[in-house]
Amino acid sequence: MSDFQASPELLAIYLEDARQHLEALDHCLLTLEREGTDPEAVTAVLGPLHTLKGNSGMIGFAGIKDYVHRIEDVFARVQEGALALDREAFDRLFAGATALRDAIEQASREGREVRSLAAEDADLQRMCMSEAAPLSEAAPAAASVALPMSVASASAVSPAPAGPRPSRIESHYTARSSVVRVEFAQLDHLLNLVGELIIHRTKLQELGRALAEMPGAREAARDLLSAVHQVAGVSQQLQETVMDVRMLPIRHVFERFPRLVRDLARETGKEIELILEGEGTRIDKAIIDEIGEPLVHLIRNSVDHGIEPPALRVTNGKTPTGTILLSATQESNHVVITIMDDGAGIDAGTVRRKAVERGLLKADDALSDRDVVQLIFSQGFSTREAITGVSGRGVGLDVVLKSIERLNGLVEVETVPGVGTKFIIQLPLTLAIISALLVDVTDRTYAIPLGSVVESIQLRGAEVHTINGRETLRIRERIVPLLRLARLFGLPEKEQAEREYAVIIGRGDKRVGVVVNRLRGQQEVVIKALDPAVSGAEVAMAGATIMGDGRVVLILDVASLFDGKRLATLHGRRPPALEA
Amino acid sequence: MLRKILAVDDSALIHQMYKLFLSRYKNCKLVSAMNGLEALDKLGQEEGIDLILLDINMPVMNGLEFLQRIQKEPAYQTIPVIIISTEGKEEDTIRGLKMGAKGYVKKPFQASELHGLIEKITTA
Repeated sequence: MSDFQASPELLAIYLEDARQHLEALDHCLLTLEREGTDPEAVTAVLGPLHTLKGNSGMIGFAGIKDYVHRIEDVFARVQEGALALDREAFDRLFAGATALRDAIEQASREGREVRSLAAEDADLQRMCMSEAAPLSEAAPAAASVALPMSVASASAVSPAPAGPRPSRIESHYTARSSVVRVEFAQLDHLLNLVGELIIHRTKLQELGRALAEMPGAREAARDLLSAVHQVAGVSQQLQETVMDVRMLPIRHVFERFPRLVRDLARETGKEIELILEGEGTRIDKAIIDEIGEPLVHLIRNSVDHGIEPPALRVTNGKTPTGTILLSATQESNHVVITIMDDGAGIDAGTVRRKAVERGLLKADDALSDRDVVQLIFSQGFSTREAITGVSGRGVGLDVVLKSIERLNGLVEVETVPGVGTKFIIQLPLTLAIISALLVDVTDRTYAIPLGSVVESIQLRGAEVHTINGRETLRIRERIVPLLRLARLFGLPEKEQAEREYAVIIGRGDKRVGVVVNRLRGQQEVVIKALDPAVSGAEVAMAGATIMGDGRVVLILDVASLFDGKRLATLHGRRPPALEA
Repeated sequence: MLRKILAVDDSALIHQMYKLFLSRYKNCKLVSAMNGLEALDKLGQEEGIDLILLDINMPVMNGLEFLQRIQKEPAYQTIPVIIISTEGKEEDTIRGLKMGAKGYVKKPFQASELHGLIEKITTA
């Protein structure tokens, strides 16, 4: 077909463009299904389709090009009023859009067309033909040919508040002038270089200070430090700019959910409206890449276990259509994503019973209902008997918890039986650089992510009490368990250390005190990933960082400290690392 | 002797392909614009453009409107324009040719087709 070989680079550009065009197609179909024939929505999708057709032809995917052409035909007929879309037609178009997506993804991977779209093409062709005859006579009544509202809303899945919809479709197809495409790996490399720069800057600063101590070198030291100060300013800006470049709006993740919820609702016979909020919230691309799956899981969970069937909702005095609100906001240096449904809620009693059955909880454990509900994130909680096509394919919410913790995030659930459930996910803005508190434990330095540090206090022997064989510290009204890092890491403990500090770490409303010998101060550190073989120890490390003097400092994985605590309280025994 | 070609298309893929296809014209600079409006800007900024490759279906300002605008400008109306059309929009291509475009190729086109047309037009 073409007299050139489609290079991986061209295929990557093609695929990235095509994904945007496919999103525009999904959005258009959802709008038409919900709101009836909307000429603006149809016009908005024709541009992306036309470009997709041209691109597919140029890269040599003739089958895909022809199928996109067929879809264009369908929309052209809808626009002319020669074709009305009924429920079956929408199903066919949605299935076609999915097939097209599969075909494009596969072809881009393989460099040639693998999946045939002939069957889908014939389907759409039949659709155009069968409608043409009777409707050409009805053409003058074009406006009323539109999908009846009642049918549309009965199966409606609303992707967003109705107002700004058309402009959102438009936004997929605006000019991308003055935009340069860059491989993400290059940005990663750039950030690593910035990290190195910051390390060397710190080193220079230390040298300058040492020089200032030397007699006769004051003048030179002052000049050096002033130059370093300049470099510090510029490198700070450089770091911020690079970080900013890595950020993408969370829309990139959210935009696939309207279609997902629509399909799941059809599958389960439920009526669900999905509302998206805060899609412009920006977050590191590395997080964007990872957060999709956990969100899909939670949304599936809300559809399957949250929202009740329409009849049951009506019996319970609710509207037949359930609502799922997916929102994102930035709060200081975190992004908070919430998934809220107005469904059945989670019954703490049922969770408690199941948890006891599965050995996750002792029957006489005095955990509050709120804490009991969090057990749905425990490994082994997922109930086999509840397997359906939508969620619970033997994969539990523990997978969600693990994915989110891998991103240094937190997830919590709040629920009111009969009213609804809310999942709250807190994520860092970036995975690349964190503020950390540097602490010394038996002559070794560790970094603790500052976001988890609640406070640091000097430890005096008298305040430490041993309860149930465990050291605890009383802080105001709380009893906080203490962890001795030296013991945890198997380091020799200083006999009668002159000074000890407890760094109080918080996770949700839980607290743990980490005992260290010295607080070295706060610092921005660039996280370097660790080999899983190293980080997979009893207390996992979140990564490592390199100090100004070239030393490697390990960054504590805060979540694992709480895992230890959870194990200890839930199983009534201490994990091996905690045995004194 | 081609010195500068202005390529107007809203697809990043097509721009990448132009880069590939037009690499045979050594010392020829390829200027890219994603729509008609941006192309007008580029015409103002870049001196000595001696060929325009023009897509029709683009957001912000489409190819036909761009063509209409440059045909009114004495400085630009002599620059030859090649329309890059896509299947199903034949009427637009005809309108473009009537408005003064010198020729057209239809996507998907091969490098040799584009070269042939460019040579025909620029040596005429």
